[in-house]
Amino acid sequence: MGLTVNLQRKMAFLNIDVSFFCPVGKIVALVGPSGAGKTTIIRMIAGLENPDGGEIKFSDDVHFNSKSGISLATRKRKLGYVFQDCTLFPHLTVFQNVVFATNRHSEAKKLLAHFSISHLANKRSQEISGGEKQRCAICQALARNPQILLLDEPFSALDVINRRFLRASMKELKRELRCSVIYVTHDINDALSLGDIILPIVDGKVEQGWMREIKYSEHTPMAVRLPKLAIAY
Amino acid sequence: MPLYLSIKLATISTAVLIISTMPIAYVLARSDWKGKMFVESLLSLPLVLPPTMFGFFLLYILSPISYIGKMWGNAFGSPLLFSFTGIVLGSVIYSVPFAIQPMKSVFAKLDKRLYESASILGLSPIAVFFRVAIPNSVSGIMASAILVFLHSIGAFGVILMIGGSIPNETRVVSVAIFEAVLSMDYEKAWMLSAMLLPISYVFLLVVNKLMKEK
Repeated sequence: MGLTVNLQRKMAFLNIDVSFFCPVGKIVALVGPSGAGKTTIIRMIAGLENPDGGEIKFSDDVHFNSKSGISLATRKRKLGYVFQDCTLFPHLTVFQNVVFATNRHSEAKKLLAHFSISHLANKRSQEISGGEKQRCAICQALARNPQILLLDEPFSALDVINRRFLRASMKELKRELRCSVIYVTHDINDALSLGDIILPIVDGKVEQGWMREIKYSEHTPMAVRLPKLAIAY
Repeated sequence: MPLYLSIKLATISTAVLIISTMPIAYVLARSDWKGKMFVESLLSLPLVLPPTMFGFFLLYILSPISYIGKMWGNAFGSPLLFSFTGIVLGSVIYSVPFAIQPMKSVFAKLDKRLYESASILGLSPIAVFFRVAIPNSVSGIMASAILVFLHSIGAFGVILMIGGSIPNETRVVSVAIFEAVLSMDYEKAWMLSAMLLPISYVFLLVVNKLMKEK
């Protein structure tokens, strides 16, 4: 059970060619410099952009297959997506945003409590801070109980305190996750703290040989855990 | 009575136009297809055609000698020309670009990621229109409605061509002012103009405020 991704796309400045598998309950961190194609990869997984070739499937459900001409609409892919800059619906309150596409009100309340924003439930999205908005966006993505959760640099625009808080909240939540998570970041520390599998993306491709499963330990120095990546970034 | 007729005409035209052109403005703002430019140009024609010329076209199309005019006469028993319904139709067609342009602009300016986010959350394109596009474009839609209202209230050439000047039926303020001037009844012309001016000015202030907010 999990997300199988095999994508090719030729762009003016970049050729993307990646293959990987993300099991349910695991987080694949796509880490790499700006312009490496990380965001384009998850946009293709979401169906917001079309690959030239390849296949995307979740278990046996084919979302995209260039050979058979299948391209499932974004709305049918059972996704959660957190953008880099928050995209809450400005006309709704925090709670309305979280339950926007679901009737799972109790689940939404639990998520708001988990991310410590229950007290903001009735505030409009313009009335809350950037960090609070991003927490709300994560709750919105999780409330639908997605099969695939796509996180596009969700912490990059946040200050250190909010970043630490969200990282810790996501780590806590990780044990309960029943979806495949693709986490895009250019920050190796974020990737190491959350990712089960780290995929370094350079020039649209996975850097072969660097892919490894991280056995996370709080006491292991990063350089020991992943010497090549620590040097590279 | 002419002022009442003008307000009634403008209100009905605005309601009909906003409801009917909102989906068109949305499709034009959010999609790209072959022939789009042709459709956009066609819908903008009333902006560049002289009102009397536009009125002349409508006069022919709505007259009992045309297919549409004949069909209407058979179905409702009375002609479209020189009737209140006829001037509503003329006003609606003539104001189409004033309704579409501001709404198209506000739909196009809306953050693309809101549309994407709604699709990711499982909304159909129609649900995205009703639950995301419309609620986040209220100021643009209001501005559009007020512009159409003002345009309809001030319409003259088209109304005169297809409606004439029938008291209590098609004699709206603009036509009544024209007739008053023709008959050298300047006092009446001043009075009607003085009634229309503050209405138009206040509505324009509201449009400017809404556009600024947008």
